[in-house]
Parts: sequence; structure tokens; C-alpha cells
Amino acid sequence: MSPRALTAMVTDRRGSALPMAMLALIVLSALILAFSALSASEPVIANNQLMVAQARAIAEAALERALWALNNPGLAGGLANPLPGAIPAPYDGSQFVAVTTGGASIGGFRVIVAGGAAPHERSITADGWAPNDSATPRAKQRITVTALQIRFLDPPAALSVRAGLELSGDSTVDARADASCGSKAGSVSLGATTVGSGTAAVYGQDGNNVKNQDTDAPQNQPESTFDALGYSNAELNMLKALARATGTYYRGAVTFDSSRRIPNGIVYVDTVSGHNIDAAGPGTTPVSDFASVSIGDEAPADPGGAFSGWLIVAGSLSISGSFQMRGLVYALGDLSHAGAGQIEGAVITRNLRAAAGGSPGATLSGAARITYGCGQARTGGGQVPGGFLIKPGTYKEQAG
Amino acid sequence: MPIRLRNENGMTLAEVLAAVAVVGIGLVALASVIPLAAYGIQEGNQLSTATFLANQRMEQVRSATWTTLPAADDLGSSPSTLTAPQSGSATTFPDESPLAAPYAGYTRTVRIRDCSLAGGCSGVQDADLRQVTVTVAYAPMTGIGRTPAGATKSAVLTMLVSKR
Repeated sequence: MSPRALTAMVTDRRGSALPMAMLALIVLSALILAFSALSASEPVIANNQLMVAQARAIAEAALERALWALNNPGLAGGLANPLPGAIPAPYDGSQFVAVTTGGASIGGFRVIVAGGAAPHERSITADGWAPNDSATPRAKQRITVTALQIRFLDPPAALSVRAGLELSGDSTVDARADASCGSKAGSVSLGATTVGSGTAAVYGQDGNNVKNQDTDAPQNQPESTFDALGYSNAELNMLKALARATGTYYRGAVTFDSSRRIPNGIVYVDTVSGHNIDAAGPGTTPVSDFASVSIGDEAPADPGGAFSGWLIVAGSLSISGSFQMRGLVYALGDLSHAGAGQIEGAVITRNLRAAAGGSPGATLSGAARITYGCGQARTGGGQVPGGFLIKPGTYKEQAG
Repeated sequence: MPIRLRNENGMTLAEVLAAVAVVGIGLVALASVIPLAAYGIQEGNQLSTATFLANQRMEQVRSATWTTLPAADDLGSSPSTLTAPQSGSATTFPDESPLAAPYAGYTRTVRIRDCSLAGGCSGVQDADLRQVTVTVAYAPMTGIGRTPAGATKSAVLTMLVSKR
């Protein structure tokens, strides 16, 4: 082919319209196919998203069902505490439990409840499916948590001091009024208990109304007496989480009085750093990091004039004035209770550091009064839940 | 005769007409796909939005307080399947029919069943357990436009809640 003929063939436009149209048709066909494919996938994607959301909600339902079972051991479908050796269905994961609403099945779940690392912990594995566990396609979501029951420490006395105890003035510790949790002493101490020459009195449930007997205030008790009276770090973290949830978590030096009132519930006053005392090992937390709490007159926020709850102090606690309380005091440091206040419930001091100058770990003076009340201590005057709750930091979601 | 076959006069018009016909076929095919594709995209959009709105409400319900100690019930329960949940005299999660803009095309309802009622919930009959159902409904589009008035589709989420 001559160069001239080649040039003429390339530049000649005659006969190009149809090929161009065919090319356009091919391009349009490709667009149509792509458009169709993309638009057809949109409902599928949205439906998958809905199924995942349904599966997740049903996994939550499984978790709630397990918590209900743990908190209702006496009911049909409940789980005994402590857990039985053979976990009954459906809590052993053997049974698919359908979840319906309005007569229509949305999905179902399988749930496994097992013992945890501690006796009061439970491990829960909850699997939720939508629309069920055999359909295709199906969505599966798994939630794992550790449930933890806030232990009531059930102290052996109205006032339990893991150090020495000193009472003076007209102060009184009295455990006679409530035997619902067994026979309790007035006070129990690791060190010596010193009762001043005034009218200070300690009464226990020892069958008489004679004050300050050894049976009223057992002293120099072995360390083992106090071993069960401490919360683990996990339990303290749980209590912190509960306090945070209600806005009653504080740190460092805190004063409750008419200008800052103490609200009902779990009140947690943490260390300055926010770390648990000696979490890194015995003696690792300096005393300067300890909390320091002072409670004065008109401190309760409750209009009834009495604080109801658990007061947990990661350090020392000083009470003065006419502070009224129903519940449990748990101090990791020392206690000073003066004035005319009254605590109905129980008081536990852990005295994690020896007091300076050999002074006692707990002192009561003035007209301070502690009256044992098991129900008040257990429930924080009706403000503290006693069932299984989700342990902070253990909630995990997994896609199936 | 050979001269007539080689004569190209008038061929451009025929070519262009044929090309227009071919392109026309393509455009008609494309036009017929557009409503179906639009339906698919719209359906995906509406269902995704409905799922989002249902999840949003479920999170709000999940965070409601329902405790024995202290006694608190911000969850409530529905007196009937047609009624929003109530705690005392207060409606805890009122019906949203329709939702505020930009979701005016959706309605959202919460129904909370007291599991102590006959039938219970997933095998449990106890007042300390409730079943929450969140329904988000919308008017779907079909390949030929909107469905007749009253026809709706919905995203439904349900879960159990136990009293703490």
C-alpha cells in the first residue's frame, strides 16, 4: 500500500458513524451493567447492616437474660449461686432461644454462663443470630463480659478496725439491736481496744447488757479475722465505676459540709492519683497519695438529713459534728469519729499504713455513735444494688 | 453495475440513521434500567437510615435506668402493643411520627413488654425482665414510583433488659 493510499484511508471519514455508534452502544451497555450491579447491591448491603444490628441487639438480650438469671436464682429459669456443677440449659449454650416480637421471629441466641476468676465472678458468652443460626445469609454477633457481684463484706462487728481502737467521752458502739446477720460484736480490732474512763461503751450481742466486756469488744484479734474484710482491686474498680456513673466519685482531699453536700448512693473518694492503694505491690503507694475526707455538719444532701449509701475512702476519714448516716463506711486508712454523729450500719477500717506515733487506727470521741444494722450496711440504706453487674472493662463485642 | 456499487453518494445518511437507531436502542435500555436502579439505591438508603435510627433509639433505651436500689424506673413498660412505654404517668419513649428533619420520612416507635405478662419473653415470665422493641417505618419506593398510601417497610430491633 502506497503512503498516499494509507493516508486516504485514515483520514477518510466516510463509514465511521456506524462503528462509532457501535462503540457508544458498548460503552452504554457497560454502564448499564455496572449501574444495575451497583444498584442491586445497595439493598443487600443495607439488609446485611440491619441483620448485624438485629444480631447485636439479640446478643444483648442474651446477656441481659443471663444477668437476670444470676440475679434471680430462686425463680424458674434462674441460676443458683454458687453455680451448680452442671449448668442447666439454656445457660450451657446447648439451646437456641428464639426471640420474637409481635408474633414474628427476629432471631435467637445461645448463652453460656461459667464461673469466673473469683467466686463472685461469672463469665458470660452471648451469641446473637439473625434471622436464626442456620439460615443463609445470617448475621452473628458475640458479646463476652464478666459479671461481678458486689460482695457485702459482712463484718463480724459494728466497728471492725485492722489496727488499734480507742473510745472516749460518751461515744458508743452498739450491736445489740440487729441479729439478722448473726451474732455480732460491738467492735473487733487487730490491736488493743482502749475504752476511756468516761461513759464510752461498746455493746455486742453477747447475751447481756454489760458494756465493754471482752465479748463486746474483742481485741488483739489475728490478722485472719480481717482477711475477708477487704475488697479486691477488681471490686474497688467496680465500685468506682458505679460511683462515676452517678457522679459521686471524688479524689484526694475532700470536705463534705454545708457547702459541698454528700449525695446518697455509693460515694467513692479515691487516691490523689486515682490508682488503687498498693495495686503495684505492698507498700508501693505513698501516704501522700491517700485520700483525706472530712465530714462536718449539714453534710447530707438528702432532705431527711441523713446520708444513705456506702462511703468508700481510699485513705483517712474524719467525721465531726452531727453527721447522720445509714450504710457502710469502708476506709482504707484511719478513722476519726467525733461529735454527735451517728452511723447506723457498719464501719470497716483497713488501716493500710500504721498511724504515726503509734496512735490508734480508729478513734471515737464526743457523743459519736455506731449502731450495727445489717440491712442498712448491706443495702447502703436502700441505695446500693446487691446483684451481679458487668465488671468494668470486660464488655467485648465480636463479629461472627 | 459495478459503477453503481462503488457509488457512495447517499451512504452518510444511511449510516447516520443506522447509528442513531443503534444508539437509541442503547438509550432505551439504559432508560428502562434507571427506575429499577433508582429503586435499589433508594431502598438501600432508606433501610440503612432506618437501621441507624433504630440503633440510635435502642442505645437511648439501653442507657435508661431501671434499678431496684435505689428504686428507679426510667424505662417504663407499654400498657398495650399500641401504646408508648410509660413509667408512672410519664411517657418514657414517646412515639415519633414522623421524626424531625432531616428524617421526616420515617416514624419511630418503642414498645416495652413487661415479661410478667402471659406468654413471658423467650421462656421467662418475670417482672424483672422486659422486652424492648424499636420499630422504624418508612414508605418505600418501588420500580414504578412510591407504593400506595399506607404501605410501609420497617427496620425492627428487639432486646431484653433485666432490672439491676
